Amino acid sequence: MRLRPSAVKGSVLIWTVLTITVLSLVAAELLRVVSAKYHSALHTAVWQESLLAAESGVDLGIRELRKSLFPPPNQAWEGWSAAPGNEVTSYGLSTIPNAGLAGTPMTIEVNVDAPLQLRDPGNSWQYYRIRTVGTMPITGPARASDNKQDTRLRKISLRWDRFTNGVLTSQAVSTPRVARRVEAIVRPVSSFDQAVISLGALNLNDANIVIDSYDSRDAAKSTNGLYVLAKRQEHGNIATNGSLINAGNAHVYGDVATNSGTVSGVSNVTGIERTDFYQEPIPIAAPNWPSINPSPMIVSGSTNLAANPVEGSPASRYVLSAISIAGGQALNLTGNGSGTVTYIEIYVTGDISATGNAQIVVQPGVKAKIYFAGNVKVSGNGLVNSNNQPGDLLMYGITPANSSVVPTVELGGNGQLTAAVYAPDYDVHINNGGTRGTAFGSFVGKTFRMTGTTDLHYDEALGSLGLINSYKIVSWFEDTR
Amino acid sequence: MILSQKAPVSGTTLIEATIAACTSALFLGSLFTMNMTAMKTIRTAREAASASQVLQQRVEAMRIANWHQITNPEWVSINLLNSNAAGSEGLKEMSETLTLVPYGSSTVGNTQIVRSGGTTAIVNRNSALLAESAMKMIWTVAYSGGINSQITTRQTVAILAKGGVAKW
Amino acid sequence: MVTASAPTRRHRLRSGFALAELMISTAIFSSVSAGLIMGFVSLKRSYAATTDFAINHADQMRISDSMALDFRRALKVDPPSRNDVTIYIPCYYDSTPSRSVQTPTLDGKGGVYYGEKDSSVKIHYYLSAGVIYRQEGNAVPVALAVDVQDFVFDTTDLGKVITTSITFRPKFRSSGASDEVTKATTFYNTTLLRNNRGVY
Repeated sequence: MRLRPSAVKGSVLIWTVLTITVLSLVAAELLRVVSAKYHSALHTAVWQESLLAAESGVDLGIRELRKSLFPPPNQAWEGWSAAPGNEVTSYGLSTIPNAGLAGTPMTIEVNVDAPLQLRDPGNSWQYYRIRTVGTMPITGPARASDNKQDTRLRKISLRWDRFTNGVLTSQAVSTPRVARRVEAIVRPVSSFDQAVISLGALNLNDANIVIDSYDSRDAAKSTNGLYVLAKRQEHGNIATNGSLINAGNAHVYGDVATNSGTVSGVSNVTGIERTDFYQEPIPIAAPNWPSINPSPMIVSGSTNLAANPVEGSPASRYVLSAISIAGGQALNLTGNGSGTVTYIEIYVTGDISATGNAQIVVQPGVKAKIYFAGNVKVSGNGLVNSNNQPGDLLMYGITPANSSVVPTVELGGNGQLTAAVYAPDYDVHINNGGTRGTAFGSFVGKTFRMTGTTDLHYDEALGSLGLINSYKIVSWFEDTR
Repeated sequence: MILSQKAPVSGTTLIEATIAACTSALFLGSLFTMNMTAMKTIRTAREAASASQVLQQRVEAMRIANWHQITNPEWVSINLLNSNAAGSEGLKEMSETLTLVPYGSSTVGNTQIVRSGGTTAIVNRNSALLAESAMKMIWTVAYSGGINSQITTRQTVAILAKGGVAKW
Repeated sequence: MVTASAPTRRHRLRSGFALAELMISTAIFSSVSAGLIMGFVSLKRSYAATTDFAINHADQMRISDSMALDFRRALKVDPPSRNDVTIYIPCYYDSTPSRSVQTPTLDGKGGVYYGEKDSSVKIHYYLSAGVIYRQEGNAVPVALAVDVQDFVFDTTDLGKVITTSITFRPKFRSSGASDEVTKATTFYNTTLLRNNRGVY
C-alpha cells in the first residue's frame, strides 16, 4: 500500500502579514477621516476670520464717510483712490499683519460708491454702497472639504478667487485663501433725527411733559402741515448719552434711550426703552462764505433782514457780531411778501439776546438758518415762526474753540416755540413760560432741560432736513456666490 | 508496505511564530499609538472649534455693545468678560486677552484686559480710545490643548469704527 | 507482504516536529491571532466612533455657520420656537441661473430693498427625526446635520440679537449617551441681526 504524500503548507507569518495589511488599511482610513476633520476645523476658523475682515471693511468705509461730515480739513478718503460719487468708486486696500490663525495677514478691500438710484429724490441726500471683500490665507493643506455641503457653504479659493475688486469675476490666486464679500448700504442721518438728543443729562424737570410726533408732509399724520392731536404719531423719541433724570410723570409717545443707565421715572413709554444708546454728534464749524450781504454787521435794535429766493446767494447771507434786542424791538427775517419760499442764513459770531417783549420773527415763506457762536437767550415774546414749521427755523451752535467753555441756549417766550436746534456743545434750556407752553421741533444739546413746557411735538419731516450728522447701515448682505 | 514516502510537509516553526508574534506586537503597539494620536487630533480639532466659538461670540458681543461701552475697560470687564463665553467648557486652563489699539491714528497706547482663572483684570488702559474714529480689536484665547497638551493660542483681529457695523 | 524499510540517512534528514515545539508555536499563534483580532475589533469600533464624532462635529460647525449666515442678513425672523425658525432675507439675487445681483432701490422710508418692493426670500430651519433641514423658498429641503437632539433660540435686545444653542445626540456603540456627554456636545452661536436695525 502506498500512502499518497500530501503537500500541506501553513504559515502564521503570512497570515499575520495579511491581517496587518487589512488593519493598516482600516487605520489609514481612520487617519484620513481624522486628518480631514482637523483640516476642516482649521479651514472653518479661517472662513470665520475672513468675515471679520469683510466687516472691518464696512467699518472702514463708514469711518471715511463720517470723516467727510467733519469740518475741513477732515482727511476724508486719504489713502483711497478717490472720494466716492456717481460713477466714481472709491477703492481702499488695507492689510493687517498677524491677524489670523498662525499669524496670517488679513486683507481688506473696500469699494464705496454713490449710485444715482440711491439718491433720495426728496432732499438729494446720497445713500452710499459699500462693497468689501475680506481675505485670509488658508492655514493647513490646501484641499477642499470632503463634505459637499461644507464645500458649498464655505467656499475656498484654492486656485481661483471668485471676486476681483469686489465684483464676481474670477482671478487666479497664487496662494490658497478664503474670501468673503459683504455689501452694505448706508443712509445719511439728520442732525434732527429725534425729538431730543442730549449728550449729558436729559432733565424733564418733573413737569409731566408729553412728547409725541407728527409729520407735516403727510396729511394722514397732520392737518395742513400742522400738528393735530387726533393724528398724533409715536416717534417722539428722546435719547441721551447720559442718563434721564426728573422724568416726573412724562408721557413719551416714542422710544426712550439712555446709556448704561436705567430709564428713571418715565412711567408711560409707548415705544421701546433702551439703556445702550450712544451717538457722537458731528461738530459744527463756523460758516465760511466767500461773499455775504455786507450790512448790517450787528443787530442792536429793530431790524429787517431780507431773505432771498436763491438759496446760498450772497444776498441771503449775513454775518453779525451780535443780536441784541429788548423791549418791543423785533428782528424780522422778511420774505418777499407773497409767501413764496425765500432763504436766509445768519452767522452770529457773538451772543444772541432777545429780552423783554423782543421778538425774532421768521416771516411767511422764509426758511431760516441761524449759526451762533455765543450764548443764546430768547425770552419775552421769543421766537415767532410764522410758517409754524420747525424745519423753517434751523439753529446751529458752533463748536467753541475752547472745549472747557460751555455756552448756553435758553429759548423761552410766551406759548409756542417752533424751531430745530442742534447745539451739541451747548447747555440747552427750553422754557416756554406760562402754563401751557408747547414746543414743536427737535433739540440737541450737551445737556437738555425743559421747564414751563407741557408738550413737545416732533415733526418727523425734520429727519430729512438739516445737516447730516452720521451714516447708518440700512442694508447688509453677504454675497455667498 | 512503504510506510513513509517523501512527504514534503512544512508547518509552523517556532521561529516563524516568534517572528510573527514580534511583528504583530510591534504593529499592535503602533496601532494603538496611532489610535491615541487620532483621538488627540480629534480633540485638538474640537478645541479649535471651541476656541473659534469663543472668539466669534466675543467679537459679536463687541459689535452688539456701543462705542462708548467697548472703549471703556471697566464696562468690558464687568459686562463682557465677567464670565466665560458659552462653549468654552472644553478648553482647559483658558485665558482670554482683549487688546484695543487705535487704528489709523497717531495716538499711541492700548487698552488691554485679561481674563484668566475666572478673574478679569485691566492690564492697561488708553482713555483716548473714546475719541478715536476706529480701533483694532485683538482677541486672544490661550488654552492647554493640542496633541501634546501644550499651551495653544488662537487670535482673531477686527477693525471696529465708530458708527460701523453695530447694533446702533 | 509488507516490507518495512529501515530509516535511511536521507529519511532521517526529514524530521517532523516535536510535540513541545508544536504546542509552543500553536500557543504563540493563538495569542498573536487573539491580539490581532482584538486589535481589529477595537480599531473597527474606534473608526466607527471617530467617524460619528467627526461627522457630528462637522455638522455642528456647519449648522452653526449656516444659521449665523442667514441671521446676519435677515430682514425679519419669525418668533422662533424650539427646533423651528423662519428667516426672511433680501432678494439679493435675481432668478436667472447666473444669480446676478439686483439693483438696490430706496423705499422712500429710509430703507432699501432689492428686487420687488416688500419681497424677500424665506429660509426655514426645522428639526425632523433628528435631522436639521434648511429649506430656501420652495426648494427641496437640504439636510444639514444629523443626530441632533434639539436647537433652541434665545432672542434678546428686542429681537436684534439671537443666541442659538444646538445639542447633539451622540451615538455610542455600547450604550447610550449620558446627560453630561450630551450637554458637552452643545454648540453656541450669538448673532447680531445686521439687517434688522432699529430707529436709532
